Amino acid sequence: MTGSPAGGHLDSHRLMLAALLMGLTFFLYLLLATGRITRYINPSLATFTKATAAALGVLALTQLALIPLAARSCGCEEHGHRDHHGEDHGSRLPYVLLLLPLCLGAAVPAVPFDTTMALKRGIIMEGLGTLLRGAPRDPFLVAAEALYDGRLAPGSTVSITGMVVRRRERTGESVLLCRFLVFCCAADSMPVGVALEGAAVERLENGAWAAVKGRVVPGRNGTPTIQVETTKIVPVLVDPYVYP
Amino acid sequence: MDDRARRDDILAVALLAVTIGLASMLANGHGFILPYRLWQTIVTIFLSVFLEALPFVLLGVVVSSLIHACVSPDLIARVVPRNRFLAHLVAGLLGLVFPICECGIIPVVRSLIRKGLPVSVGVVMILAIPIVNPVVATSTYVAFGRHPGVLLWRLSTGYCIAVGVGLCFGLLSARFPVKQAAPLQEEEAACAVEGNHGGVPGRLGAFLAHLGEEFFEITRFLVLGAFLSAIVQSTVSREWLIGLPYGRLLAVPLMMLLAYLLSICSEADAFVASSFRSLFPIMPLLGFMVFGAMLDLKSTVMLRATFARHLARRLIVLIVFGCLLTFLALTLLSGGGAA
Repeated sequence: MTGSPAGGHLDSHRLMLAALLMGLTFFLYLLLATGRITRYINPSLATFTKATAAALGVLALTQLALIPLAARSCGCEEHGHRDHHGEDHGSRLPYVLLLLPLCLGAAVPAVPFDTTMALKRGIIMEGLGTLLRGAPRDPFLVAAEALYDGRLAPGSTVSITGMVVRRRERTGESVLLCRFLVFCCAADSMPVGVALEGAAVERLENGAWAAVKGRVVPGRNGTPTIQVETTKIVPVLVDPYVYP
Repeated sequence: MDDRARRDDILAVALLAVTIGLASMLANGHGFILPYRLWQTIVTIFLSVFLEALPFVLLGVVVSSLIHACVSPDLIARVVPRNRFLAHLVAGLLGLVFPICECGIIPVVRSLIRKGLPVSVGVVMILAIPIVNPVVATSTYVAFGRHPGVLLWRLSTGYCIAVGVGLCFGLLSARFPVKQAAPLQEEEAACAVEGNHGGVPGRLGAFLAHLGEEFFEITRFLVLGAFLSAIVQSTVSREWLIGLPYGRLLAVPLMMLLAYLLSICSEADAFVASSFRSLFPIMPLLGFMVFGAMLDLKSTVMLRATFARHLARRLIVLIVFGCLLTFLALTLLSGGGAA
């Protein structure tokens, strides 16, 4: 089906199209203005989103401008130009599909991924350096990279903030502090974890956000681990993700 | 309005009702069939895929509309090498000049096919450009520790499979005229060349009218693909998938399946593949990166917008077998595919 799906009336189709484009423009503008865009994509791509919002706004206006122009050129009042070409009259299903991101985006606030998603995706606990495009800026990523590159010697002090993930293993339960590393968008993100141990971590609930401070020790299986000295429950960070 | 359109309208009303109902329930923090938290995750992934792809789709649609308004079938006939084999070889390298990802390239090729580009050459472009381009090459180079080995494997296997699939597709589909491959409306095409698309005179009118239509056409398939991908990503566990008992050969189809389900953009997939390095040898990872850039859940839906159903099915089968056989053979030849 290639034709306008609005019952063949080009004007109503283009009007609907312009309205949908306006809606998308407004939606993108809201995401950018409120900063919620970083819940979905890497901030370095926000420039593309800004350009898209502007382009869609212009496209919406041009589609509106085309309506009288097309009618004048065609000279037909009762039907759209496409009818001359014998195109099939489609349904309104495609409009509803385009409404889907607007409705869901307006109704459902974006949430940082929880522990279930971290466990489903598999937590990265080695070779972090090769995943990064440059020197990391976030303290969590700086510490995790140094930890797995062996640059943090046993005994070094580390302070990091992240989501507590309790993971069942064959040898018992391990406690990790995780952040999702977003390459382009939340969909391609991977959880990065740092193993914690010590009496203080027993109180940490699965899924809670915590700031921990401790010393590096060689943990089980040789995985560098933080021997936690102090913990503090904190609210979910404004930007819960880290970027390569 | 015909029966099919009426059926679709009923479906549209039902979908709208479900969407609004779902959105209002989710806004109030209630679950609907699935737990609320799972819905939130599905919507977050859906919107992240949609928002990430939207600029590239728009760019692709702009280029597609420029082609529609400014390029004549004669020009295509003059530019495309007469030697079919050479045309396929050249098409596979166009990504070096036009680095467009898999979402953006589909509307461009769709427009070119409508203007007379041989379908099989268009197929090579769709498959090769998201892999053989500088942006993807850079991300692959960085993701695999700045060693050129994986990058060269990815570029060479991606290029060869794309050209091979394109040639096979051309041979198998030779008896079908080009216009059956894309839903071309001849009168519409003629109208555009004459500069009277949508009743709006001039090339600018043709460009703007086509821009709106093409964006509308492609974006709805993007929405559908992104939503399917979000459902799969939120429910299927990668840990479970890679925990399946597999040998060195089964790892290849396993990673291809994972790439298909995840629908990750080719500009980012190397980083995700790189995170599996401790679990898999290099050939399954290449299968993940090459196959995933050519075909995934999202692009399957979008390919359906470009090709007639039987041709889309044929193309998908060729891509699956092309990648599977290539990487299985390379796994055997490299003694297990060690890096």
